[in-house]
Order: sequence, then structure tokens, then C-alpha cells
Amino acid sequence: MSNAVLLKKPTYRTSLTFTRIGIYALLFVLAVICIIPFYIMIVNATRTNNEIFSGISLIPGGALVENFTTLIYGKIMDVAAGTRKEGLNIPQGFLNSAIIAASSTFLAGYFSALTAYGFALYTFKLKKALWAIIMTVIMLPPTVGLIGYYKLVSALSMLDTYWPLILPAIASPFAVFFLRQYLASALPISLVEAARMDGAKEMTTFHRIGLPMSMPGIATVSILGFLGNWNNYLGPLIVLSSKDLFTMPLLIQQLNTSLYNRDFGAMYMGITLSVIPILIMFAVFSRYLIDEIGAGSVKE
Amino acid sequence: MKKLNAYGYIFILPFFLAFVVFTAYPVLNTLLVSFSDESLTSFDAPIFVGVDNYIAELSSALFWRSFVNTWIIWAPNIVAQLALALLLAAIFTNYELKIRGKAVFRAIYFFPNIITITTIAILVYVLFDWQNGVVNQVFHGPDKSTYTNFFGKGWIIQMIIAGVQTWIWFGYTAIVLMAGIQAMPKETFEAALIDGASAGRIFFRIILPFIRPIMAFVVITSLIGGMNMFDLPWVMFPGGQGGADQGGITMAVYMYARAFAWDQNLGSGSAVAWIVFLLIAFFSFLYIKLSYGKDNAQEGVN
Repeated sequence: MSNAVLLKKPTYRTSLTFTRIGIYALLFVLAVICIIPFYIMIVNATRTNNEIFSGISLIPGGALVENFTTLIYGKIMDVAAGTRKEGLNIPQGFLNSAIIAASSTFLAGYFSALTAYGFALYTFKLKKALWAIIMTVIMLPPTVGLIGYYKLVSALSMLDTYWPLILPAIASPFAVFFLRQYLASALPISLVEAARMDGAKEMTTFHRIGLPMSMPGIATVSILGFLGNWNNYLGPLIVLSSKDLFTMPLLIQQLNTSLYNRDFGAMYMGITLSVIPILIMFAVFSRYLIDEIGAGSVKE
Repeated sequence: MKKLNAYGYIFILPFFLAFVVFTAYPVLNTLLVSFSDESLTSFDAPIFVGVDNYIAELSSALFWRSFVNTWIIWAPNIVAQLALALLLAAIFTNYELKIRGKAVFRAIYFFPNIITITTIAILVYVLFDWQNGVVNQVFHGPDKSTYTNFFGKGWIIQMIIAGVQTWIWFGYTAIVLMAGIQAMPKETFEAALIDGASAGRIFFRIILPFIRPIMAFVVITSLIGGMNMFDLPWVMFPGGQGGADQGGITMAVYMYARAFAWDQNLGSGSAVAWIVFLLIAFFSFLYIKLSYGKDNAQEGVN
């Protein structure tokens, strides 16, 4: 079919070749722009401050350990003790972020599947109205309830704990939306009815059939949810004040304070370390993520 | 079966409990606080002040500066982001070009989107540094006296943030738009090709109208994010100072600073939060009206 079109215009092929070269050049330049800042970041994490200040390099230097030490143990010398102080406990930050992100993701996966199953399987009076609420809340900007959220957390004596960062995941509107769409095609109603005939209770039916059937969908929302939680800054910023509870974004933010200011080696090292877990997730899931982002938006 | 349907409520109960406690109540409580003089530093019971906070904010020069800043950052970003994403989506879905390595390019363009914003903020801060930043080193070589002080002017700060936003989002948006174009029925394309329509004509007359709902989705979610832009300017310029000319004070930075940093005035902060919310609702409505109103008018003509 497309050959018929090409035959009509004899010059088309040569011009197409030129177009193609131009397009590959554009695609290549964009790819470089996306990657090079991170590459320079990694290289500079291994260079001394003097090297970083004097010019750009694409080859790693020898200051990896020095920068790492400055980052972890601190730049400021405690003169009396003869040691450094005010370092960033990056391993602790990883652990804290992982605890919050994993717990939230688990709660979001389970309760979103439960909610989606409720909407997919049953007919009840307020179903339409309640679904409309969920659809609206997806579009709710994160800042509109921020001050009320702070007051609530404070009134519940949950400031400086992980509860207010984990429990809200029980109500994850996007995950519910996604899983209901998923269940609409993946849940065999006949299987549910057969289980009921055998005398299975409704909750058992969910755990035996609904939840396993939702698993591929749960996996998708979990990857997105985990990343979202891992990258969340505003929530922990409002809630947490003890340094040993800080998540990675809160630790990274401190690189731009007087503690490290102007120690570019340590700063580059800090952000490089913060990217590593995301890099691993990206390597494993990128294909999957990209397909799902496309699929999810078309459904909407 | 009828009896079983009551189980629907039981299944969705945990969601709505958590929703009421952690979302609905805080949002409404913020509205309530916005009508009071509540402050983090005062021990007195807050007093109802009516719409005083709203009037004070709407006549505050700094609030309007934050409003203008937010738009100066968001507007170029959404235009650049959409233009780039549409171009890429058109290239990747083109039948005749048959671009190789599509999956690799897509993955690379998407990569900045999943990096923590605080990390990107620090990266931008060091890369664009005046005397020791890589950007100056690349464009001006070793002579530091010729270096540009990027953070010395408010509008440059804003353009850098807008550029970074575009850099973070163009890949994501391209993926979304591509999925939209791929959802088009193939017959539509083929009919247009047989009629001898040019690639440009096909793009503007067939593809663009078809993906209008997805464009609306992209623009409105970006608007919501853009009007709430906080992490990047807050981490680049700690304490909500916004850098030179207060260029980095977005509405969200201003709201947070009023409530938690500068004067710890929860009433004013809440009023700002609700003004931003209403602005988003208004501009989303306006966009849909303009985008679909035109469509209806065209259909009327045809």
C-alpha cells in the first residue's frame, strides 16, 4: 500500500533518506541531553574539588573514597574529638526510604485491589457517587490539604513517626482506578459464582480468586507507587524532624546547606548514590513501566 | 445475590475510611483554617476572621509575584514539552520512517522522569554554578571571568527551572501521546495516504484532533503539577528565598513558607492553598472549554 504512494513521487526516497538522517541526529542529541548530566555527575563524584573547579572531564578521577568519606562522616571537623561531624547517614536514609516505600506500596496494593474488587463485583446504591469521588480525587492537587494534614498528624501525636507517611496509602485513588479497569477484563465472574456455590465466604473469594487475578495489575501500580513514595519529598519534610528518621530526599536536600556548601565532590557523590536504587529499578522495569504509562493514559 | 451486594460497602470501607481521615478531612480543615488567624507560634485559640486572609493575599505583592513566577515557569515548559513530545510521537509512529531503536530512545527520554526531584535540584545547582559549574566550563572554557552568573537574575532562574521541567517530562509526554496515536484505527491513516495527503496534513488534520482528549489529560495533569511546583525551587534555594529577584518563589513555595517557615501563619498559608486550588480548577475548566468548544464549532460548520 505504502509502495503505491512512493511510486507516485520518484524523488520521495532520496528526500526520505535526508529526513531520516536529520531525525536520527535529533534523536541522538536528545538522548545525549538526557544522559550526559548524569554521566558528568558520576564522573565528578570521583574527582577532587580542585579538579571539579578547574574544568570538565569525561574520565573518572581518584577521589571516590575521599568524597564518600566527606559525605558520610561530614565536612566539619570536631576539633575537640579530632573527628568529623554532621555527616549524612546515607545507608540509614536508604533503609528509611525503603521501609516507608515498601510498607506504603504493600498497603496500596492490597487495599486498592480490595476496593477495586468491591466496585467491580457488586452493585450497590452509592456505587456511582462513590466512584465519582475517587475519579475526582485523582486530580486533587497535593498542596490543598497540606496544612490540614499537618494539623491532623500533630493532633494524632504522629509527628516524627512513619505512620502518617504509610497509612494514607490505604486510599490510593489512581491504583483503585487502574485495578478496576484491570479487573473488568481479568476477573472471571463465573469462577466467583462457582466458589459461592461451594459455600465460600465473600472475603475468602476475594483472597482466593480476586487477589491472585489482580496480581499483574498490582505489580504495575506497585512499581509506580514505590517510585512515587521513594521520590516523595513534601510529605516527609512536613512530618519528620529527627535526623535518624530522614528519608533519602531529606538527606539529599541537606547537601545544599552550610553543612556541605561548596564541597562539590561530596555533593556529586551524594546525588550519585541517591540515583543508584532508581537506576537498578529502571534497568529491571523500564520496558514494563513505559508500556504501562502508555496503556494507562489511553484508558483514561 | 441482593444480600451479597451489601458486601460491596464492606470491601470499599477501608479505602473510604483512610480517604476521609487523610484526604477529605485535611482538605476541608485547611478551608476552615483559611478563615481563621491560626498560627503555629500563637498559643491563643484561633479567631474566625472571615475572608480577611483571602483579601490580604489577593492584595499582597509577593503573592502575585509568586503567581507570575509560577506561570513564567510553567507556560514555556508546557509549550516546549508538548511541541517536543508531539514531534517525537509523530516520528516514532510514522509508517514510512521506520525508526530503529525506538524502545531504547524512549527509555532514555523517560529516564529523567523517575529521578528524585531533590537529586535533580542539587544536580542543577552544581551544574549551573557560577564559578565552578559544568555549564559555564563547557561554554566558556577555563577563563572564569567570562562565566555567566545563571542564578544572578530571576528570569534566568525561571528559564532554567522551566527547561529542567521540560527535560523531566518530554519523554513521559511523548510516550503518552504515542500510545494515543497508536490507538487510532489504521484505516484512517491508510485512507488518507491513498488520497495522497502529506505527512504534515495527516498530522494536523487527522492525528491532532484524534488525540485531543489525551492532550487535555497531559495539559491538565501538567497544570496541576506546575501550579504546585515546590521541590525543585525549594531545594535549589533553601528557606523559600527563591534566589535572585525572588524568581524561584512559586505559589507552592510561598504557601509553604507562609505556613511553616517565615511567619508560621497557618491561616494565610491555607488561604493561599485554596486560592491555588481554585485557580487550577478554573484554568482546567477553561482549557477544556477552549479545546472542545472549538471542536463543536468546527463540527457545526462541517
